[in-house]
Amino acid sequence: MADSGATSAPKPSSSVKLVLLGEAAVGKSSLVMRFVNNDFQENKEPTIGAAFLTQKCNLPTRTIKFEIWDTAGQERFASLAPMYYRNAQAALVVYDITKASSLQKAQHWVAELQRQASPGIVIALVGNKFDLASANPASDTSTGGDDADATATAEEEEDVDGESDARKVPTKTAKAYADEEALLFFETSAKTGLNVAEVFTAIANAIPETSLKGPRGVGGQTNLGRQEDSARVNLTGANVQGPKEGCAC
Amino acid sequence: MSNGEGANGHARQTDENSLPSKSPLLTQHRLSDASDMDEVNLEEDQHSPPPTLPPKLPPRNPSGLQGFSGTMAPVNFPPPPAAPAEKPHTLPPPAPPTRKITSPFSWLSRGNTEKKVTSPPLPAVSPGHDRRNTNASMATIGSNPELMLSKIEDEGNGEGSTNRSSQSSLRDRFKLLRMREEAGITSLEEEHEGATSPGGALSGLVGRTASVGLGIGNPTSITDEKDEHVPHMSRGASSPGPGPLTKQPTINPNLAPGTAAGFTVGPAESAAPVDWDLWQSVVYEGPAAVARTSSEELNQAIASGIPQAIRGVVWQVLAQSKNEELEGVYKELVVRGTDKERVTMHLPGFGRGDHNGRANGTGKEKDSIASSASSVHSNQSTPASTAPTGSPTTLGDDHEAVAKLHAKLTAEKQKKVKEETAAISKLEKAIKRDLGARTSYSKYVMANGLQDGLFGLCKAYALFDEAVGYAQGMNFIVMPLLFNMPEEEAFCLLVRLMNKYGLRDLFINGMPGLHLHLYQFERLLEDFEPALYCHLNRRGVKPDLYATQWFLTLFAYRFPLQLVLRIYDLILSEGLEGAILKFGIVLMQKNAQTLLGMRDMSALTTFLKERLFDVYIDKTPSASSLLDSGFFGSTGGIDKEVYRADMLVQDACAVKVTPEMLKLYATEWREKQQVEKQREEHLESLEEKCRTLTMKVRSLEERAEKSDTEHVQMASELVRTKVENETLGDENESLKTRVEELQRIVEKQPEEVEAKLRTEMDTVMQKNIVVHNENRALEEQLADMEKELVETKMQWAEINSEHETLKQKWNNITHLMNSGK
Repeated sequence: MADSGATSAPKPSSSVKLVLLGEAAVGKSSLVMRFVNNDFQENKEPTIGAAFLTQKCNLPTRTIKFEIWDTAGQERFASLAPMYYRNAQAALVVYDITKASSLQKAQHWVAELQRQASPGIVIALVGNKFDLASANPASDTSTGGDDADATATAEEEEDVDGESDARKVPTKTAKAYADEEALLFFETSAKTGLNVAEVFTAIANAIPETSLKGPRGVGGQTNLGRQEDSARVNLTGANVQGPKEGCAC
Repeated sequence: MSNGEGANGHARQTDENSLPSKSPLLTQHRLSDASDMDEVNLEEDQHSPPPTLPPKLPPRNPSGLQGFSGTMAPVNFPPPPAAPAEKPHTLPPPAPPTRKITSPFSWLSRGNTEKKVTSPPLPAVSPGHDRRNTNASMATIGSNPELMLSKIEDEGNGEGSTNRSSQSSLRDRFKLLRMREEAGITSLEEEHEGATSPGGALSGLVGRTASVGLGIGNPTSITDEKDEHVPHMSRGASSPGPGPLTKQPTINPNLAPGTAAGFTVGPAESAAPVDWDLWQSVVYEGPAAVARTSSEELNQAIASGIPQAIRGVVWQVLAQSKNEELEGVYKELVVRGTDKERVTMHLPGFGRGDHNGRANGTGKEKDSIASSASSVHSNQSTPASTAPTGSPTTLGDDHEAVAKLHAKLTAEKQKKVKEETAAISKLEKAIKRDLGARTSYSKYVMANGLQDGLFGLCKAYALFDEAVGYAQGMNFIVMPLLFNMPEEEAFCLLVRLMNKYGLRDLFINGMPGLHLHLYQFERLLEDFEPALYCHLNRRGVKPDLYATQWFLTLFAYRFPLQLVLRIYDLILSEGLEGAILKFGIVLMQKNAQTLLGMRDMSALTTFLKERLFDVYIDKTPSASSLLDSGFFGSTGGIDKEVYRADMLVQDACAVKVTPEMLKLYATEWREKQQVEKQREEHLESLEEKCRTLTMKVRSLEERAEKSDTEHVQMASELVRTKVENETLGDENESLKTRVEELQRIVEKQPEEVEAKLRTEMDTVMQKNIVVHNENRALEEQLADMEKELVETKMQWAEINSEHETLKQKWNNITHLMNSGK
C-alpha cells in the first residue's frame, strides 16, 4: 500500500505473504480476525479451504502489508496447504496451549515448512488461548457472557476436572522447542487480544530486508535490530504480566 | 417379495387405508393380502387401475379436507394481522389439470380428475394454460439432465427391492403432503373469506408435522397424526411467535425464511403454478421415467423450484435415497458411544428376540440392520454393499447360526466399545466444536430443534464411512437436508449424495474430487470468461481460494439458504458435478464486470466469498416478494433480501456445460495429475539417485581422503628416502674414492712385492752362492783333511806297527834280558 497517507514522509512499504498453519480449532482464524479487525467471535464456524485477508503493520522505518492466508486446519485439508505456503515469506504456526496434541501438529508443520517452503521463511510458533490458561475461578465468573464458552472449551479436555488452569503445554516446553528450531515464539489470546499485534510486529521485523519485494526495500538495519530487541522485551514483559491481564478482563 | 417387503407393504397399506376410513376391519382386510401387495401395486401403478383403488381415492380427498376444515373450526386462533388485500390474486394456482392428457398413467389422471371434482375449493386455474408453450422457450435449458438422471436410476436399480418399499412410503407421504398443501390453499381461501389469516401458519405447520411424523413407514403414524392434528394446530396457532406470519399458503412458520422463499419467490413471480401432477408422477414413477416422457417439463419444474412442502420427498425420490435399513443403521450409529446404546443393546427384542422363531418382517429387518451395521464396523463402509443385503436372503438362514454370529458380534462389539468410546468422544468433540452459528443456521428459528440432528448426522456419517470420517464441510451440507426431512432420511440422502453423486470424492483423504472440480472449474472459467480468468489469475486469485468452500459445502458456506435449497434441487436432479460447476460459472459470469473492476486481492476474495450472490437480490420485488421480505424482516432481520432464485437456477441451467466438456477436463486433469505424479516419481527417483550418488561421492571422497593421506605419507617417506639417499650417495662417493685409492694401492703392491722379492732372491742367491762357495772350499778343505787324516792314520798305523815291532823287540829285549840275566 503506497498510500499510507497519514505519515508526512512516505515510508517504504512492502508486502509480505504470511500463512497460518496449525491444527483444527486452535484459533488461527480468530487470531487473524483479532489482528485485522480487532474483533473476536465465539463459536466461529470452521474455515473451509482458505481465507485471504490483508493488514498493514507500521514499523518506524517502513510499512509492511501482510497478505494473510488463513488455512483450514483439519487434517483432511492438508493436501491444500502447499498451495498456500508456497512462496510465503512468513508463517504463523499456531497451537492451542490447552491441547498437547496441537503442539505436535505444530511441530509437524514446522518440519514441513522447513523442508518444503521457501528457504528464508520466518516462522513464528504461537500458543493461542492464553486466556484459558490464566483463568482462575474468579476471573471465569467475571468474564460474564464468555464463560459459557470458556467452560465448554475446558470440558473438551478430558482431565480438566475442577482445575482452573486448562493449560496443557507448559511455556517452557514450547519455548525450548522454538529456540531449538530458531522460531519466534509467543503465547497469545485472540479472545483478549494479548500479544496478537506483537506477533505480527515481530514477524515484520524479522523479515530480512533483502527478501522484501516492496517498491523500495531500504530500511535502517540498525533500527531493525533495535526493534527486535524491544519486541523481545515486550514478549517477556507480556508473559510476566499475562495472568494479570487475563484477570483484568 | 419377502416378508420384509410385506411389512413395508403393510405399513403403507395401513397408511392408505387409515385415511379414508379408520375402520380396523378394512385395514385388516387389506393386511391379508399385504404380502405380495408391493409387487402387485407397482404393476397397478403403471398399467391399470386396480379395482379397489379408484373408489378409494375419491373419498379420501374429501375426507381429508373435511377433516381439516372440521378440526379447524374449534381452534382458537389469535387475532390475525391485517391481511393484504392483493393476497388472493398472487396466490400460485395449483396444478393445471392438463397434465392428465399427456400422462399415460390413466389411474393417476383419473384420480386427479376426481380429485378436482371433489375439491371445489381449489382456485380456478386458467384452463388454457399450457405448460408446453412455456416450455418451448425452455427447451434448451438443462444440458443433459436426463442423461444423468437415468444414470443415477441405473445405478439405483440394484437396490430395487428396498427402494420400492421405501419409495412407496415416500409416495404415501407425497400424497398426504400434496393433499395437505392443496387443502392448505383451500383453507386459506376459506380463511380469507372470513378475513382470518392463520390458515397459512396452520397449513405450514401441518406440512412440518407431516414430514416429521412420517419419517419412516411407521404403521401407525398417520392415524396417530390425524388424531394429533388438533392439539398440534392449536399449539402452533396460540404460540405468539409464528402467529402473525404470512398469508402465503405454503409458508411454514417453523421453516427458515429461506426455505419458504425458495418456494414462494419463484412461483409467485412467474406465476407458474405448482405442477402437482408432474411432481406426483415424479414421485410415483421415478425421475427417470418422467425424464423420458416429459423431460423439459421436469427440468422446468425443477428450475422453478421444488415446492417447499414436498421438497424433502422429491429430493429423496430424485436421489432414490430412501432406505429403511440404512435408517436403522443411522439410528444405531447415532447413539453409539452413548448410554443409550447399551440400553438398546440390552433391550429384549432388539436384534435378539427375533431369532427365537419370530420370523416376522420386523425381526428380520433388524437382523439385517445389525449385520449391515457390523459390516460397517469392519470398515466395509460402502453403503451400497451393505444396503441391498436385504431381508430376503437372511430369511432362510439358520437362526441358531445367526444368533451365534450375533452373539459373537455383540461380544466383539462390547470389547470394542471401550476403544471406540474414546474415539467417538473425540469425534463428538470435533463435531461439536464446529457447530458454529453459521453451521447450525441458528439465525433461523426452525433450526433450533435440529441441532441434535446436525450433530447426530455428522457423527453417524463419520462412523458409517470411516474412510471419510468427519470432514469439515459436511456439517454445512447437512442442515439444508434437515430442514426438509427427518434425520434418518437425511442420513440416507447424505449417504446417497456421498456415494452416488460423488460427493465422497471431495471428502476422502487427499480430496481428489475437490481438486478435480477445481480444475474443471478453472478450465470452464477460462472457456466462458477468459478475461475474468486472466484477471483473477493475474491477481493471484485462484479457484482453490474461493471455490473450495463452494464445492465442499455445496454453496452452503456463505450463500443464503433460499439459494442453497435451489442449488440442492439442481444437484439432486442433475448430478453433483454439473450442477455445482454450472452454478459456479454462472455466478462468475454475472459478476464478471464487478470483478474485473476490482484490483485488490483481498477485495476480490472477499467479494468472491461474500457478495457473489448479491447480483440476484431482487431490488424491485414484486408484490408477493415484498410480502416475503416483510416476512423475513419479522424473523430476525437477516436474509432481508429477496433473491431471484429462479433466475439463478435458470441462468445456471443455461450455462452450456456439457458432460463431454467435463469428461474432457476430467481426463485432462487426470493426465495432469499423472504427469505431476510422474514428475514427482521422477523427482523422487532423481532424488534417490542423487542420494545414492552423494553416498557414493562421500565414500569416494573418503577413499580419496584416505589415499591423499597415504599419498602424503608416501611423499614424506619419499622425501625422507631422498634425503637418506643423498647422504648414502655421499657416503658412497667417499667410499668409492677410498676404494679407488685402495685399488690403486692394491695395484701398486705386487710390483713392489716382486721387486722386493727379486732383490731379496738376488741377495739370497748371492748369499747362497757365497755359502755354496764356502761350502765347496770347506768340502775341499775337508777332503784335504781327510787325506791328511788318512795319511796321519797311515803314519799312525806305521808308527803303530813300528811301535809294535819296537815293543816286540822291547819285549824280546826285556824277555831276553829277563831270560839273559
